[in-house]
Amino acid sequence: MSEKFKTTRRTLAFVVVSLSCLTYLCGCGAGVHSATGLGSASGTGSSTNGGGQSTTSGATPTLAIVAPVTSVRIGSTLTLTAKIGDAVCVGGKWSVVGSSDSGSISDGGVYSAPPSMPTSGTAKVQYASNGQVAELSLSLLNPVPTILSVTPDKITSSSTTVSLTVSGLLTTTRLLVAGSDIPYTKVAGTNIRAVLQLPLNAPAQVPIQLSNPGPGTATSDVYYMSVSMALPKVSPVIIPTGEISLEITSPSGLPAKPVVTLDGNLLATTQLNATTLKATGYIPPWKTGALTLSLGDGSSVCNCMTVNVKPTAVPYDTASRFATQAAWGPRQDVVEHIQQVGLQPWIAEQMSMAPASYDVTGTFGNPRVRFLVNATSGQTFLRERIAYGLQSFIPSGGALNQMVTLPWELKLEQHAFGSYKQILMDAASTYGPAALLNLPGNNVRPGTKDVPNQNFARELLQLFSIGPYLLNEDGTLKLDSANERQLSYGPDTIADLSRVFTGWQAVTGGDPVYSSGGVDYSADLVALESMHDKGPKTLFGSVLLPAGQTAAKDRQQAIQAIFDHPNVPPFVCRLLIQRLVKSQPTSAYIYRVVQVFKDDGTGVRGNLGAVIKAILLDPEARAGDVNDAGPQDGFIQTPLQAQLALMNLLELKYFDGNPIYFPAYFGEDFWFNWTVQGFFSPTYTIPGTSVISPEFQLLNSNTILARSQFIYGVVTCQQRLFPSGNYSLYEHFKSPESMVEAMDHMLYHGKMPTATKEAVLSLSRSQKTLLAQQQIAIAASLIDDNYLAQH
Amino acid sequence: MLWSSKASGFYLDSTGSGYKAVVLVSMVGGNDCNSFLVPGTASSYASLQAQRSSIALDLSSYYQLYDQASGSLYGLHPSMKNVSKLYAQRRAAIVANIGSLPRPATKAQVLASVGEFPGMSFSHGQGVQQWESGLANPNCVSGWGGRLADRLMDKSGSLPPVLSTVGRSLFTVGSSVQAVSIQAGGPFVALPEDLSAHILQSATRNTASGNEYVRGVAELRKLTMQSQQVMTSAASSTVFKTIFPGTNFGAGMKSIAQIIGAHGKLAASRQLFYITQGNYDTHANQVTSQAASLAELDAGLGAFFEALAEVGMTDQVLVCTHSDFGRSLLANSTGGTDHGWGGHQLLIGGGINGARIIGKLPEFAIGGPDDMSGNGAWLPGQSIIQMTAGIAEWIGFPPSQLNELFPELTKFNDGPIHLT
Repeated sequence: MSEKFKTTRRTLAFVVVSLSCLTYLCGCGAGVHSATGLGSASGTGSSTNGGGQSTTSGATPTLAIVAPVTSVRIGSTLTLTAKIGDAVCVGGKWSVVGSSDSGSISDGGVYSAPPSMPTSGTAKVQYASNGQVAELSLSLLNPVPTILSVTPDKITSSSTTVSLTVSGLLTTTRLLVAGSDIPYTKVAGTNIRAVLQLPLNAPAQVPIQLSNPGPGTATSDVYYMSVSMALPKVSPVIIPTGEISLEITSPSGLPAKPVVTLDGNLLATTQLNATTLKATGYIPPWKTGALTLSLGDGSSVCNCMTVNVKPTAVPYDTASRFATQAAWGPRQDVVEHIQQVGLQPWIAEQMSMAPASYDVTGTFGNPRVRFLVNATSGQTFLRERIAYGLQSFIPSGGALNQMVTLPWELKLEQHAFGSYKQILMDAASTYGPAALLNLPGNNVRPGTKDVPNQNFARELLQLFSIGPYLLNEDGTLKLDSANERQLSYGPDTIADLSRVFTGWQAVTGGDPVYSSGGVDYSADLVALESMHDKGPKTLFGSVLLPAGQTAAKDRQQAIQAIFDHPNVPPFVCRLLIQRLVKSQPTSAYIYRVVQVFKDDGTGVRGNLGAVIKAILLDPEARAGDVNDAGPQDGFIQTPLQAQLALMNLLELKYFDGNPIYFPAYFGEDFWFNWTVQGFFSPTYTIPGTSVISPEFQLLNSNTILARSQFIYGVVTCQQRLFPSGNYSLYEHFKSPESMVEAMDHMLYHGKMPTATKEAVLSLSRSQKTLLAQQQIAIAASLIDDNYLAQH
Repeated sequence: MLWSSKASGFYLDSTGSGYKAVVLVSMVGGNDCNSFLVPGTASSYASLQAQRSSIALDLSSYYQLYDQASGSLYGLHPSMKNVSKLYAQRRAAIVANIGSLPRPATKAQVLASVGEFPGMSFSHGQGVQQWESGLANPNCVSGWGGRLADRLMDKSGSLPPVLSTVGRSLFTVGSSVQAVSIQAGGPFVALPEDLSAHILQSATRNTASGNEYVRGVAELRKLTMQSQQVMTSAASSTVFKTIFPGTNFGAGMKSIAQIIGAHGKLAASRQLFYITQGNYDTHANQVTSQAASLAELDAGLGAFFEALAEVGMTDQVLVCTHSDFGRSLLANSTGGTDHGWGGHQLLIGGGINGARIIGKLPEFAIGGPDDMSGNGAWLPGQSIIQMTAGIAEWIGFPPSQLNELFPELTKFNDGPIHLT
């Protein structure tokens, strides 16, 4: 009823107002007012004018604007009412006060908010009637945005231009795709266009929403965009390690700035066409199995491809460890080749290769320089390792003249896989080792009491073949019934053997390249029969060399007798195992290898090729590939081995003659022995222990410090007279973490102790530049005790 | 063991008369005894000379030594100018025909049990091992310097008791002691501080490695890094007027003298030094090469004692020699001699009772009672054990400890060779 009344009254009032403004018709009841209107009624002063004219009872009624709400969204309307008390006023004058950008109001009190937000953010409306004025302030709110339609209706590409018809658009309106802002352009009043960059693995529906900021923050309903994209594909899916090149085809398009990572490592990209790119990079060779290939745009990533590392014959770490035994350590091409072909085929391959050439007439005329060149750039490592091993106990007198060393090295490399009998014959016929032991010129001296020089005869037995005491086949001492060791030979054998080796002379006037002081070091010794002791000789108490034989015949028979001595297999096998695999082989290991030395399977004794293969492939040699090394496994790197490992790791292939002089600083002037003792004793023990470690003999507080300094100097390019290089390591491993991981595999075959890793990592991280971080990680890994002691 | 932690606790008799040091000079390769020390009268020398006429020197070129106890004259090699003076000053003695012997034995006794006598191998390796171990056991794992050092750890101050200018040898190896090398300086860049600290920390951690090779390297490295600084700063504080020869041996003896001079600063009262010298494996051209090696030895020793006199320490430092073995009496066809067994050694300084020839020369007869090889390799008349035990006695070890250090000593009725 009241509603009806009001309507009636309103209509009436409208009519009345339209005729004349009759104040008395404004029946304003108490409590009905607009707070804003009341408060802001500047006509308060004039309210007294109407006060007395109120027909209603109570306090003096005042003109006020009444509104249902006091905020209005831009572009929308609000109906206002003017009242005095309960009475609705009609016929007065509605107006918007102030600037014209704050909206308009109709005569009927319908306020229309402006289409855009005025600077003030508010609007003031006024109602004036009969000299009375009421005002009301309204806050203006931003409009509610709406997505009316979207074209296209389905996304099939990672980058799609979409058009949206919208309302409520402001300059500050945000377009949110899956919750993230994306830029758009306004095409017309209600059309916007945006490029949607979606990850290739985006979900089937992507939410799109508009959002307007405050005042009156508002978002549109969510529009769900259908997505249907084809995932990218990679080719090839099976890759080798190392430098790789992949083609990624994405039918749904490529990100504008593609970011491709493989197993977390960034690859370089080149876009080939709209949907294809080429990604190149480096995969460390120790990676195996399935690797995640990711395509992203810098913010989102699609881990949507997988490539598989091509399986190798043996794991990288096995190959890496094997290269410390059968080659010269971490030369990457070599390690990776071993990894590809496997151990046994690699050995076969090495044995089928001819020895490297030693061109001593060219730039690398110095034979020792040539050796370093071969070890860092050549391919015949196993021969070199065997020759190096044999040189350790059958040295040549290189210190006499550098050219003395080469014929001996050439013979050892040539015969590295042949018969050990040949090696003994080589020692007796080559100038270098023979001259170190005074064999050339050891002539009979008729008419004097002088006896033949025993030097060669003694060391031939003692150091090269038999050793002083009788051995069992497992290398242990063969004791007599009284539990005493037994001499392998007596002074009488030495005396007679020294007579066998009389009459041999150095050749003079031969090859000038190898000649010095008239002696041709490259020519085998020649016999001068008149200087040979022609008497009968007895060796080992049972081998009789009849009187009257030539020097050559005596020599041949003596070497055969020595070669046949039962001590030779255990004596030589232990030395070779020490030089390749470990300083302290078990007696079972020695025994197994000795059986091969005695008979290679075809009835041949002393076949070094078969022996070396047996040594390298023995379970005891290979145990450390999988398991951690045992407490007494391993060997200390010699200075030359350590230097070659350093050079190979850093790819130092180009150098002058200077690097040959460095091992001497650490006690190993390689090939240049002054004495037959070589550089270390095969029975040397680590002080205070019973652990046999020949190479430890070269370690002392001086050399261990100098070796560290040397490594540090070379790695940081500060070592005087030593080459520095442009190391690919620095390109491949560009963080402390990746460099330490690389060192773990390249130097430690994956067994760098955790504590070592952490310490090296922390040292590396504390450096100021990336280069310094890389260098110190390399140096600290090379210096560490766990690396110097290979195991 | 941290040597530096010991310094304060054992600063006892580290200065003045309480200090004693032994310097062992190893004459590498086996010095030919038969030309080093010879009978000093023409008649007694003639037989020796006749048997090796191609290499024998004229007796008149020898320095004459007189041994009061026997009243005999001897000749010392013409290269030994300074040592002969020290002998005349009663500061030097020579131990004659000494070698590896596990027990006193005659030729027949040795031949009946050859395996028991490592000297019968006539080998460098065995020879050096016998001398440096001070034992007569073919498989020695410790040296006499190392074993003594194990018992001197509380008297060596801030450095270990054994120091070596040329790296390590069996001599320096004890059960708990590792020798420290005396740095000669070199062509390498200094390690930066953070890397040095890292190396020391890593080595310390690696001493607990499960692998014995890693552990061995780590122990050495740890000690090295700790000791280097201590030693370098101490040695550089000693300055001598004496000019040392410019040879390697001279430089090494100078470093040793500097460290001895700094013993107070190091709080050390007992130190053992090891140095090698020369190339005495004279299978050929012995006359020239032995003379050169001995001349280098003599010049270095001369300068060393001159420097010790500067600091008044001549009687506190004992120099002794080792050599792999003596050499054969007979010359060989290349002007040299071959491996022997017994030989002669020097003892100089240390306030010993000098001007003595201790023991006697062998009987220069091929096939005689001392010839063990047919070419004149001598059966030693005295054992390494006796000489080494005598040095230990000089250092101050009581008889009970001598028997412990040298278990075979009790087999010799004469006991140790007394030096004073």
